[in-house]
Amino acid sequence: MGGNAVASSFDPQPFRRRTNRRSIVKAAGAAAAASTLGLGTPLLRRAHAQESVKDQILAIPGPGAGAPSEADIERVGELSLNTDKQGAFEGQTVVFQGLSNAGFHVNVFRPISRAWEEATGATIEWIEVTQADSYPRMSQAFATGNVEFDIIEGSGGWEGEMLGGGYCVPMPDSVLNAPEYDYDDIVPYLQSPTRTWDGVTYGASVDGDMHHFNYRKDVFASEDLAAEWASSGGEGDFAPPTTWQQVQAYSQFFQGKTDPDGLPTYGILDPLARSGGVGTYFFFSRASSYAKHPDDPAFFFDPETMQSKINSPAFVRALQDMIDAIPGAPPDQQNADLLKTLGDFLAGTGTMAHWWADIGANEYASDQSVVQDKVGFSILPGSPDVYNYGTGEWDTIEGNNFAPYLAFLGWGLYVTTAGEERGVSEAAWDLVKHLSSKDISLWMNVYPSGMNPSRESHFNAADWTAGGYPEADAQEYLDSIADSYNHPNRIVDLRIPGQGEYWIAAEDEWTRAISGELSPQEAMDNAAARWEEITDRYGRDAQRELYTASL
Amino acid sequence: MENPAGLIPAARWQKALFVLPAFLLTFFIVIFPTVFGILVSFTSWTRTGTTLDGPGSGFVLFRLGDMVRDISEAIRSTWNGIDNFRRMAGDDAFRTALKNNLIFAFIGVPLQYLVALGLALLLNQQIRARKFYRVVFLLPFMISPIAIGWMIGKAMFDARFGPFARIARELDITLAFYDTGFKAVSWLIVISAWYAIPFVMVMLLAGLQAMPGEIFEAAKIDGAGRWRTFVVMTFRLLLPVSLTAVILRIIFEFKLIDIIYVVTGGGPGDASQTLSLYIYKDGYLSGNIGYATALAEVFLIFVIVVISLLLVTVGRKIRSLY
Repeated sequence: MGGNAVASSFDPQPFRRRTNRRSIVKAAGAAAAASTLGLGTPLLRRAHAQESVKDQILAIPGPGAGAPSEADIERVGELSLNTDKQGAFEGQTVVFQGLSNAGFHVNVFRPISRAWEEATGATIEWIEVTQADSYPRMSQAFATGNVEFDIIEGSGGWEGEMLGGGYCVPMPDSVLNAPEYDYDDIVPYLQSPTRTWDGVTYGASVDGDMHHFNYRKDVFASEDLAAEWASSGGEGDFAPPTTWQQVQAYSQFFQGKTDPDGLPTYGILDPLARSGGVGTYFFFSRASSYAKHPDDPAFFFDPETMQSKINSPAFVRALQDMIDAIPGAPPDQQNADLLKTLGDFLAGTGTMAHWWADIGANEYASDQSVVQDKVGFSILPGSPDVYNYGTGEWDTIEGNNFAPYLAFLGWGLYVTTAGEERGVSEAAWDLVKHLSSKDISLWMNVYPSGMNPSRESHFNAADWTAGGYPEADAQEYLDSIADSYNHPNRIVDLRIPGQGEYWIAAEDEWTRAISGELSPQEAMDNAAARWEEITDRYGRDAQRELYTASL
Repeated sequence: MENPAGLIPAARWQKALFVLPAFLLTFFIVIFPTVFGILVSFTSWTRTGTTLDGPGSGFVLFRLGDMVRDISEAIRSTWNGIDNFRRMAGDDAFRTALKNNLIFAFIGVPLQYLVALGLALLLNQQIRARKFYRVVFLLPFMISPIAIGWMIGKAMFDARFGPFARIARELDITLAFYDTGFKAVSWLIVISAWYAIPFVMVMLLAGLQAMPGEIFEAAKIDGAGRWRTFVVMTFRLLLPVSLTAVILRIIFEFKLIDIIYVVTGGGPGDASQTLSLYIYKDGYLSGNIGYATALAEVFLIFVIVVISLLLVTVGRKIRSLY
């Protein structure tokens, strides 16, 4: 191939020497100018740079260096910059609404975008929202017609409103077919149906999502604890749990014990505080293998009637499990939200946690983490029995029922119609292309950013060693994610209008059972009644049609 | 006809023109929001179920007309009579929030008052470095409630990493500060008091310093003891200031949201939620604009009634003492 021939004669040294932003921007500008003149240089440069850029950015900051600094992240943005829009957006302002969580998301996007701003002449105005605030803020903007942002970082679950409501514009071919975006590399469930509406692609994936199971390997390898487990009549070997029933038993057993470091040992960390509906993802993880029957694709609703299933015995049992696990949890767990839980687990509190893939992503590369080499991963625990909604009976499943939950469907970047009306959509898409490019995306997975594997290329464990991960650990971590994505009984998250409202309503009610104000059954009956109201408000037939299609 | 001062009487339209700015200001800031709020409280308006077209383009008055038509149509199409108020009567979360508001106001504020009175009396004495203490005691009130919620409620009282919990763990005691509704509300009263006591203390101290010294000297000459002097003279003379301070604190406690939002988020469940927080969550997070507005209207009426009753009854009692 011509590209390769030229690339092989290209001296890679200048790329390594380019460490300041201005020189990178100049180079990008020169490449863009050459492209305009039809010289083909950018393609050659890119073909050559593909490997070296990846290697260079993965070495920033490198193993054992802790979390990347802002300057580190800026450098990643500089090295990865590949735009042919030199000065093209001079004077334009692109408004980006994104998540601001614990140093992640916007806190990473912002420094990564500086080189792009300098190269294109555009300015980015950042609207930062918390996780709990992100859905209501978006929903309010759409409802009032006051859409201030040109790009929104949104969940695949909100696409019913974002895309179905006509608030976003389709992804142009210039991004969809861009080699640096590499659409075919994106994992299948994030190619479609997620990020699409009526077969048209709208969103660029920057994140892939599922809940998997994290446990402390060192605790489950403790001979002292194993002996105590056996002497206390614990069932089976003292080993990482594979069912929720075992999780419950261990949570009870760990009360009053100490871990190999001499610290108090706690059981499962369920985020039990209200967090604008986000806690409901964790509740559904708990219910996953009780409520998702392998013969029934529907988890949330009865697709015939669109009646909610969440007050069925399966969900009530999951809620009861969460209540029963409280005595084995750290004190005040009732007020712990998702970020508190993440921080606690990384700080060595708790032996088990069901979470997005961020625990693994932070295990080695976060300054907060004291659990390096101590965390094991698997798909969400299963259950020997699963509730059959059709018969109203519990069916026993040989080898346990597993139902990994693709919770949240990953963060995507979407350009709004309001942005198009303001005349900045070209700039917005160019920025989206930069932020979601293959190289940056890999770097954001290997280092703490809040982003988890969303591309096939993210599953190469060897790449993760650059961030300090032992390859075997990275492989175990990545396998648990891939197994969740590809599981035949996986639960693909809800993707119909009002998803956020359903989650907030459910969270309002199940947290009442956590505090003892209601029984689990009462709480879930209330939640189901509120789901019915929401469904009726959006139109039962329309919701049923969308839900059935999503199955 | 000219008036005696030689000024030409204003025409009717001129008078109206002078009044217009004040009227417009009052209309847009007071009348419209009040009437709009009352109307919305009788609707099932939701964030996603009730959309507005938004302001159109063109001359500002036409856009204003469009907006009014738009809002009127939204109110008309979602009108649900007294359903919101009926729902409120059976709403456990509303009852819990109202109960918590009353606890914060009528248990929290008297506690704040007692501690503040003690401190004010102390700082009114001729003690060394009293100016320094006055400034130090005032510090908590200078800090934002959000910061106080974080510093005290989260950092100090954290059940795993906070200093109290660590000391307790050394003694084999597991401390949890907010795991039940009762504990959460109790500790929130303490945190709120830590913030509010300086405010009450400063008011009482000002009251104490404004008292004429002669009558206390006369009482001393007449042989009145310290306790009797305090009860009969100091406390009574301080009552008007005390009433003002207490009423203000009750109003602030009714509005309490920031500290609770940071420390417990109203949890566990709804257990430490106040009405302000409930209105925010139901209106903003859940998007139930109609119901949240009804809650706000009821809350407004409730606060007006409680404060009026306090002013009338306690105020009358105080006046009768003079």
